[in-house]
Amino acid sequence: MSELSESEKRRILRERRQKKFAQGGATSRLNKITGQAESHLSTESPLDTPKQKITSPVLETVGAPREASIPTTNKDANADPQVELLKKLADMQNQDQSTPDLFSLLGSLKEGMNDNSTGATPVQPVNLVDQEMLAYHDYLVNRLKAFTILIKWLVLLPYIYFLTKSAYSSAPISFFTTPSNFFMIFTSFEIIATSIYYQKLQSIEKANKVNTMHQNSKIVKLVSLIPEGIVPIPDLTGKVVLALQYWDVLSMFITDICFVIIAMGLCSYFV
Amino acid sequence: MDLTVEPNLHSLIKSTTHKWIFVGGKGGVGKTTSSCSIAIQMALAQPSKQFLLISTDPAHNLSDAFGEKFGKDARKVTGMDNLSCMEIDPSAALKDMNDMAVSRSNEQGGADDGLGNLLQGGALSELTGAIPGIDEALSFMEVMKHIKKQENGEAESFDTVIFDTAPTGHTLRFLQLPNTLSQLLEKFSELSGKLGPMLNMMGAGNVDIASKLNELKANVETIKQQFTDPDLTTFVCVCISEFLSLYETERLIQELISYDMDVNSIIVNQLLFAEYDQEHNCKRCQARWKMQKKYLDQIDELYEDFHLVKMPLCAGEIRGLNNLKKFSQFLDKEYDPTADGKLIYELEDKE
Repeated sequence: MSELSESEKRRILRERRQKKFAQGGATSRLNKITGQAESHLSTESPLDTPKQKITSPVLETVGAPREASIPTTNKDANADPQVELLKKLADMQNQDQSTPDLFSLLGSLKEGMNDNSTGATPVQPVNLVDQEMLAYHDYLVNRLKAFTILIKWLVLLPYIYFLTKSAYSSAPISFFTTPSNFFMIFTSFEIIATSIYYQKLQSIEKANKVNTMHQNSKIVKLVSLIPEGIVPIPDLTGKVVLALQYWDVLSMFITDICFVIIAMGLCSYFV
Repeated sequence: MDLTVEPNLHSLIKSTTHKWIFVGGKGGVGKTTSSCSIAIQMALAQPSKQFLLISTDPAHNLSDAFGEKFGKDARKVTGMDNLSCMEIDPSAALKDMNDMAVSRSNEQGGADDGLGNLLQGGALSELTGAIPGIDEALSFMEVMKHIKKQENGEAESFDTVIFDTAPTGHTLRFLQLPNTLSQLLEKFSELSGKLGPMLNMMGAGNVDIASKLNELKANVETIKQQFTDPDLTTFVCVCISEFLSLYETERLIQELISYDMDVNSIIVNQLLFAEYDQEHNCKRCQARWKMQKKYLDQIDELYEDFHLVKMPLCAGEIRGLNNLKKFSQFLDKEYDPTADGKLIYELEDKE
């Protein structure tokens, strides 16, 4: 039998050593060491732990709401966004999280830049809020809106009926059924109903810790991507949010007006 | 097939292929003594070759071990023609490099070459906390550059470099850096492609970080190729026969294997061999030896495929070239407590 060469011997020994550390062998070795001494030291082996990987970007992140992990280190005025981006990626890799969606990453980058800008109102950061939570919040807001509209119409419909029928112009309710008072009554009703709606909306936002406009509105997200200075309007995002809020109120008002018109027509024609 | 593994470092000492030898382990186990011993034995066994022993531990010990002062520049050990020593603090060297690059960029407003570009504006300090191993990689490259400078200065190259590493154990963490950087750069280029010119609009930085990281990745891969070649590089673990040291040694070996680094030798220091020493024996030594034997049995079982070198606890400190020569011979030919027992008392003579 021919003798093995030195290099062959070394190779065989190396393979034997590797075999002993593979497939859970590393952890069991540590267990053996700590077991004999009744120690509480960790027996997790770097050989048996799956390596962390940066996964491809996903548009929806699933899981428990993440805490704001955006570091708020001091950034000087010339902070390189490439460095920041790499830092964030490296941070995410270390924390064993999948790469968040593009909006969130850019949002966190933008947050760093806002620290440096002078005179500008800091934009609320796009938090890495669980998408499921956002969807649930969306559902609650839409449900509130639907209920508000339904209740308003249920109140408006009899009012319009009484308004269109002059037979109901008796003293107790004449003030309400006088056509000249319609706009005042209708506007007052809208104001009260809208105030109640917004109070309910705020309590939902507080409970879910979600800002409907900032986190659910695609328009706001797109606008927040535009860096300061590109468009000659200071605090563009804030202005867009305000405009969208006004539009929200206006759209409900217009919806009710349309309903009133249709209801009046139907009441006049059929009843 | 029964392959007996010699309980000594004879094959390593006589090796003509190894270029890089790392000696490491937790604090207080005798790393420096072991690294000095390996260097001396190799130098004695191969007189035609040049050896460099370099300490990267910020708390340098080489000067104390040899009893003469060494510094950042390689200097031959007194009494040895082919062994030089050097003490370098990689993190301090890296900090100097960073400071210089920052001040240069502030003065000139432009980028330096190579690594200086990466350091411009202190960008490196932003990244080092985030990417594991990058700090060690840059420190190591500084060390390599320094060695190259020494070779150019001395007009002779070193055939083998022995590293006396710091006890933190993170010296070689940068070996996983190429994988980390590959993934990061892939993600970065994907996002850069999607964002397009928006990234350029966002900031005034003119440092192309991605290309510099690619350069770093290429450099680290070159080093990694050498360090993962078992014929070129090996890691010698040093430990003592106690629970915590055994545990730390096992973790160190597993970490090294995860970096694809060859580790086939373990030196177990400070062994009492009390049962062989009838003349100088006490209850305490017997009790400690009993404890050591318990862990030694476990070490024998766990590391049966490793070169397991058992070194005695000497009566005095192993300082000075002569004492180191006497002690280091047991790396080449294993210590026999009955035959060599007297030697550990001869070492207590101070030089």
